[in-house]
This record gives sequence, C-alpha cells and structure tokens, in this order.
Amino acid sequence: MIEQTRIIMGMPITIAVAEQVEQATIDEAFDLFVAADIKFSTYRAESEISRFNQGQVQEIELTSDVHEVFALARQTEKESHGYFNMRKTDGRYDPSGIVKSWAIARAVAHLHKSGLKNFFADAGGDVQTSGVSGDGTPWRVGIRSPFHLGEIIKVLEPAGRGVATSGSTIRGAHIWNPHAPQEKLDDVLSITVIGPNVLEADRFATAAFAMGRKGVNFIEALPGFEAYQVDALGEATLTSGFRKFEVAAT
Amino acid sequence: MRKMMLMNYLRKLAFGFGGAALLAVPSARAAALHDGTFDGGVYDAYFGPVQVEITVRGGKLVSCKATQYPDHRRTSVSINYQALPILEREVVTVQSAKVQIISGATLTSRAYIASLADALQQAVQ
Repeated sequence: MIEQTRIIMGMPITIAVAEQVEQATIDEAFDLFVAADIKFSTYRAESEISRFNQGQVQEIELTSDVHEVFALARQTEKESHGYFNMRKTDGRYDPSGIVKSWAIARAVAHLHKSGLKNFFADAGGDVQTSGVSGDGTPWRVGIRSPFHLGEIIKVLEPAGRGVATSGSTIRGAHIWNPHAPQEKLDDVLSITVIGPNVLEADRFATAAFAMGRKGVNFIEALPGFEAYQVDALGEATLTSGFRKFEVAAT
Repeated sequence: MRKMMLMNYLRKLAFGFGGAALLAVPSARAAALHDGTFDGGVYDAYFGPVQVEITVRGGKLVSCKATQYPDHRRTSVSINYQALPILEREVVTVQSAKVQIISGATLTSRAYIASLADALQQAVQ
C-alpha cells in the first residue's frame, strides 16, 4: 500500500492506494488540491476568490470551477435553511466550508478515472474511501475525540460513503463562560456525518454544526445521511441508522 | 538555533508533525523573545474568528493558546421541526480498534498559524 501526506490548504492531505499505482497518478490527485487552493484561498491576495472579493473580477468572469463551488454553496444555503452561508457579514465571499470536500471529490474522481478501485483520500479529517484496504478488509475510519486528539471514540466502516467532521477540537474559554456558567456546558463540540460521498457529507456536516444541538436532528431528517454528535459533557447523540456503519467496540 | 526551534514548534503545533506549511510564517530572528503576553491578529476560520495568545517568560515561549475560535450560532434563523424524534444518546468511550483513517475537525489550522505568526512577530520586535 502506498500512503502519502502533503500539507496543502493549511491542512494535512493523505492519499493511500492499496493496489499497483503510478506515482504520477498520485501527484495529479495532489495537484488538484493545490489548484483548488490557488483559486479559492482567502489567504492568498492573488487567488480568484480574493480578486473577486476585491472587485477586480466580476461574477460573470469567474472560471467554471468557481461557478460550480458557488452553485454548491448556494444549494447548501437553501438546504440548510440559511445556516450555511458563504457570504460573510462584511459581504465578502468565503466558500472554504465547501472547497475542501469539493477538492477531495475531484481527486477521488481522478483516481477512479485512472482505473483505481482501492484507495482513500483524506483532507483534514474529511474522508472518502473506495474499495478495500491492503489486506482485503474494509477501510476503517475512526472518529477523533474532541477531548483528546490522540484518541478515537468510534470506529466506522463507511463502505464507500463519505465521512466528514465539523467542529472545534480546541477546548477553551468559551466552554466556561463566567457570566453564564451553565449556558455553554452542553455545547456541541463536533458532528461527524456519513453521506453518499464526501462532498455531501461535508456540506451537511458544515451546516449541521452551525445549527448547534439541532444539527443531529437536521441530519436525521435527511434520507441517506447519518450523524454522530458529541457535546462538551462527553455525551453523543446518534441518528437512527448510524449503528449500521459502526464497528462494535473491542 | 532559536529560529529553528520556533519554526519546528510552529509546525508541530499546527500539524502535529514536521510538515512544511504553505502559509508564509514571518521568520523569527535570532534576537531574544521579549517577555510578555502577545495577541496575534484575528483570522477567519470559516465558522468565525481565531485568535492566538502567546506568553514569553525568561525569553522562552511558555504558553500558546487560542483565545478566540469559532463558536458560531446563527440564532436569528430558526428551523421548523414538526416533530423532533428522540435520538439515542451514549457516553463517548475511547476505542482501541485499528483504523487506517481518522475523521476530525481541522478547520482552523491555517487561521491558527496566521494568528500565531503575528503573536511571535510581536515577541521578537
């Protein structure tokens, strides 16, 4: 099995292939992330999104990739009842909430097109698996504990579906608000969504996390999606079909 | 030497291993770090702002924490759930099974590094 990690878009991106593969194919998949970063990074003054936000490019002049991501963002805004919104309060556009998984989906499509069947792509904890792992067993995805980064709290076999987690893994002052000590104790720390593919899982994980405690109910109402939501008390709420993907504790 | 240590520290903080950051981190000069507490700038991490605060004591970086990070709630938008099903709950427990991949939130890493770099720059000025 070949497994490679690079830092792109400010996050570790891993591609693993459990069959014969040319290095060039893996490089091309990584290049799709680099290309997405060059276009969509709000941290690069010269990116297409930055030039659009600065008024140097009009919407009609944007490349098809940006139109595609904007369309996905607007669709997600509608489907999430406005909880997801790529427009910041100052009017700037920031579709980063979707760009990551859009790039994973493109990389996965490239690997499939190259004839590969057994692989995974992971960008900052959002994952798409395909086929089986090197020893022929299903790929297993662990859900990272928001309390201890080195621990996992759930093991999944997503069987080709996408898995995405939204949330904050840094615990800090906001959990203990001195002015309202009770108020934030049950805050949602993370929500992991299993969806038809990584792009769908991420779109809805992003929206669900913005909803707070209702996020898991939002996912419950979506056909084809499951979720595992962890709160600051160390309790999790599961959608009704989540257990289908769970590997029993050992 | 100090510069190397700072850069390695930055990378470890950001990624947990020695990867190269694409984001430009201002180089920390060999001059001693000034004692004090320094706040980095506030950076967008999609769900909201991230801000890092560092503390330098005896010329050494002794702490580094996020004082602001995404805690986004659009409370003005309400959702009409006609009937909220009662969903199963459980206490989270650590699992020991072997996995190839880990899913977790890493949304804020770039904003975190940008703010940390700001704070470090202030400490060496």
